[in-house]
Amino acid sequence: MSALHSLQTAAVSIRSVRKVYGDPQTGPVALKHVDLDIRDNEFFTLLGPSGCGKTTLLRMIAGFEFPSAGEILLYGENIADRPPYERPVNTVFQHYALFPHMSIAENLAFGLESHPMGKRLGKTAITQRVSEMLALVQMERFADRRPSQLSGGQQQRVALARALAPHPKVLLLDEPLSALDLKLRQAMREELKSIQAKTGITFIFVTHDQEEALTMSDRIAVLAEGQVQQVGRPSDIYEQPNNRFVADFIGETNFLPAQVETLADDHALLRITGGQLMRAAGREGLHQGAQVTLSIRPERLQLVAPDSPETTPCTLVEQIYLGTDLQYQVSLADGSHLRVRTPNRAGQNQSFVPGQRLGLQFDRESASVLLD
Amino acid sequence: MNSRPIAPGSALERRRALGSLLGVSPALLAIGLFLLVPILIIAAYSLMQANPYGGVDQVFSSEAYTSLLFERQLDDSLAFTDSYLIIALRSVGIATATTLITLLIGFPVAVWLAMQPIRRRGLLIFLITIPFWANLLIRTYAWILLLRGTGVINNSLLGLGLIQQPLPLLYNDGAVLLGLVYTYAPFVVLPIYATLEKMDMRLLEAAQDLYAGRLRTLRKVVLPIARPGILAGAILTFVPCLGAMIAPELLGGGTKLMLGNLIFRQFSDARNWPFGAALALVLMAAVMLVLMFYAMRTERLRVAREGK
Repeated sequence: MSALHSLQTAAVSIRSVRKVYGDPQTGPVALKHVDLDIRDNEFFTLLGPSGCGKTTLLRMIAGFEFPSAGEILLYGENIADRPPYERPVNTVFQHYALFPHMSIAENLAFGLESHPMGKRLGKTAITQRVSEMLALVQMERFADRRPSQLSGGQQQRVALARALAPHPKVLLLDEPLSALDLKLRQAMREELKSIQAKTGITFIFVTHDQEEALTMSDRIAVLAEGQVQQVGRPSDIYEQPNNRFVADFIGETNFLPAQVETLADDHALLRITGGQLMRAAGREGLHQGAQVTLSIRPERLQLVAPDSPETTPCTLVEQIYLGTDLQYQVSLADGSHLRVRTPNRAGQNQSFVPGQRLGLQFDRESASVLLD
Repeated sequence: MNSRPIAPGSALERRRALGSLLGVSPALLAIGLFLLVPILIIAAYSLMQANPYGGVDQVFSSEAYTSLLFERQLDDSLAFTDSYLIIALRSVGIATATTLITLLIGFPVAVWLAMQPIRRRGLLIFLITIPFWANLLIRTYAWILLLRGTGVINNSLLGLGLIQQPLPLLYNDGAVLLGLVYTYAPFVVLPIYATLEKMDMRLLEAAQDLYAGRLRTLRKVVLPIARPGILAGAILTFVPCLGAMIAPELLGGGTKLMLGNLIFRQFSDARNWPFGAALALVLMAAVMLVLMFYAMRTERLRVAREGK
């Protein structure tokens, strides 16, 4: 597929999709109004807290639920009204949903045999595809086992292979790693990413785990309360959050009240409590003198000796040892608390005690202006 | 918890073994008293001579078993007779038909039940068990009131002018079948429901996601998973149907005998207790052989599939 083509046609387009359960006027609204374009060959993540509508959206792409309004286009074709078995998309379910009465190989063959194409394919081709898929997830040795004889991680791989076997145009993954333990989860992240690269299939991944989203995705859509809050690359989402929700949900942050001092073409200068000036990317709707909220990440703050130039005086409240990092809580003159985080390096950061007066240094370029 | 290893043969181990034996003794006692002893009595009776006034004379005789297949002629020679074999075959036929029909009715009902929201299921299961509250004899008499020539159904149809003559609904094989299906349908619904209730409903979504339509999902996912329940229901229907007595007697008019009626008559009108006992034992042995054969075959299949 040419680059031009992939620019023109999104793999999946969600157009003005709305989902209301029960009565269209009074029923609970799962999705208010969602517009999204998911590109061809992209690892796209729907990220949000539980109840944000991300799973509903995924289930609508799969065909288990139908939108109350709007269109779902798969490579330009509206599939919103088609049953799941007529959509060339496959799902990796949260709890795997492997068929307990079939062997691993039979599980993998199921989709191929059910597919209209399967009858033309023939037995040998199906067997070959099954071994190909087993090799992809390194489960060749387990072909004749039953799902109940496998560990959670192994079942996960089988579920992935089963969904990939019929060559879906888009693969949907519904929190597939949430049932695994931490180490396995981290290993599977890398593996999922590499399998996506190898197969070239568009992945749509649902998770509530922001770390998972940041490490794996090409792009992320952050959802809350049935609406898309922000769409962007992981670094956009983390460093330029649109609003308070996104800033707070992705990683840790500090909220600082500030006043717009000067507006330039591409940036704004803002004065925060304590008199320091911060520089942030401009936004529509800003005007001189406006009161706004800034988000600034804890790792972009530094604790230095008090009365250093260009610092804000603060008092250390608490110090928390996190292993990889040290986290401090400091209070400013106006009583607000901020979090500061520094990497845990030998011989540093050890000398502070709670109650100590310190200087807080801001990384000037690292604040972002929130819309609300 | 005491987790220290116990030396084999030690006093403590022997006491534990005795304790666990005591623990299961009520079960052993019940099996012995209510299963083994009656069967032994039946076996003993089947090997004695019939007393023409009922009961048995305590004289050894294998006459009961001989008369299953042979008739004693006037000159005391034996001639083959197939009359009991025909009754047995008819019983198997009616039991098979009943089992198939109850499965056809019971399976969809069980699937539907398993799909209901959990809150409603309790009530529905309760409704299915309601027939058990009334005695089977009374329920079967109720069918007579419905089916007979001047019964509810015929009177309604006549009243509506749909028919001119009452339909012959009662005293035929159809009425027997109806009565048996009615009696055993709940025994099919409940075990199938029990297996489906445990099924992960997401498997249905997984099947549809993998391009299986409704029919293929039913055939490849629901039916195999419900298999143990279907088999349990089939056995719970087929076995008692073989020996069923009330429905054939009341609804069949007692003209075409089934094994249950045949056995019953040996102990009542015919006053041939040894023959009744022999019939009962042979029926039980046949059923047990079939079930054992089946159990062994499924075990072999399971071992072949899963190992161990």
